[in-house]
Amino acid sequence: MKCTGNLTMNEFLLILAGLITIFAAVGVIVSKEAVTSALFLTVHLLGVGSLFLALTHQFLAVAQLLVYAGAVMVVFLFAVTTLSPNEPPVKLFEKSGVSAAGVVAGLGVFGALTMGLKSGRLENLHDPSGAELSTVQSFAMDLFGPYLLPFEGTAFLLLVALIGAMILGGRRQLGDG
Amino acid sequence: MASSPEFFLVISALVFSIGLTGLVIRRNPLIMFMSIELMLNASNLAFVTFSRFSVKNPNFHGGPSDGPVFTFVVMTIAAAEAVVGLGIIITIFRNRHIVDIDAMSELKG
Repeated sequence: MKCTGNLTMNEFLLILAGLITIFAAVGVIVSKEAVTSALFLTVHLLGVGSLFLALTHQFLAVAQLLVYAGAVMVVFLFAVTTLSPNEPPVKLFEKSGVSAAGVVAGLGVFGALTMGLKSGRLENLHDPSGAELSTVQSFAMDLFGPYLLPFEGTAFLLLVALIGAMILGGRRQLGDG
Repeated sequence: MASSPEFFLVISALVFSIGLTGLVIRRNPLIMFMSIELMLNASNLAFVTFSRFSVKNPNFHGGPSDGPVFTFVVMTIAAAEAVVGLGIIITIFRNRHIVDIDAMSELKG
């Protein structure tokens, strides 16, 4: 393994992926244009996908790439480009105090979550080197074995979403008839 | 350092907080949706991290793929939510030509 300073190459890439993930997330909420936000969100999703890969969940990384960065982002970009031209300029920091409340809420939640990290309960989490890790095969055996009912539930959910989207999108044609 | 659970969990906590902040401070419904996606992704990252670092814990009785199955379900929910939510936003925009969430507070048809 090649060393850069006192960081190994793996650690350097991992920290880089983490930083990209976080800064892209910040970019999503501070961009003025919704299109910029959507592109930042794509970068963020790719960063999370690379973190999944670093955690050796290859299937989830590929699914993140195809489902999120592919399909969901196409839907988002479609909606953004449909709505954007007449959009009034959004003020990032209003005077109503809502943004201050939002920042305080975000900091509070972050504090609460990191306090959970420091409470010592993470001692039960071990580096899994040598243990049996999740592979595509074990994931499939679990998904179609003990978790078959939730999996069928997601199929039903997608069917309902499909019908809902068709009714929402084609309401004028339905109303005419 | 970088391959410890804390590294991933701090990223997850940060992204969740950023998503929550964005959800509160932005008035554009599209960007609010993207903030919700950020929060869902943060929870996905936490699921996968806990799943990976729990396989050697003697008190953990699940399999190595329990967390990824949850992540898979969350991804499906996010896709369905994006389709229906954006459909609703586009329908409202077609009828009223506004993209401010405060102006959508009345539900009168």
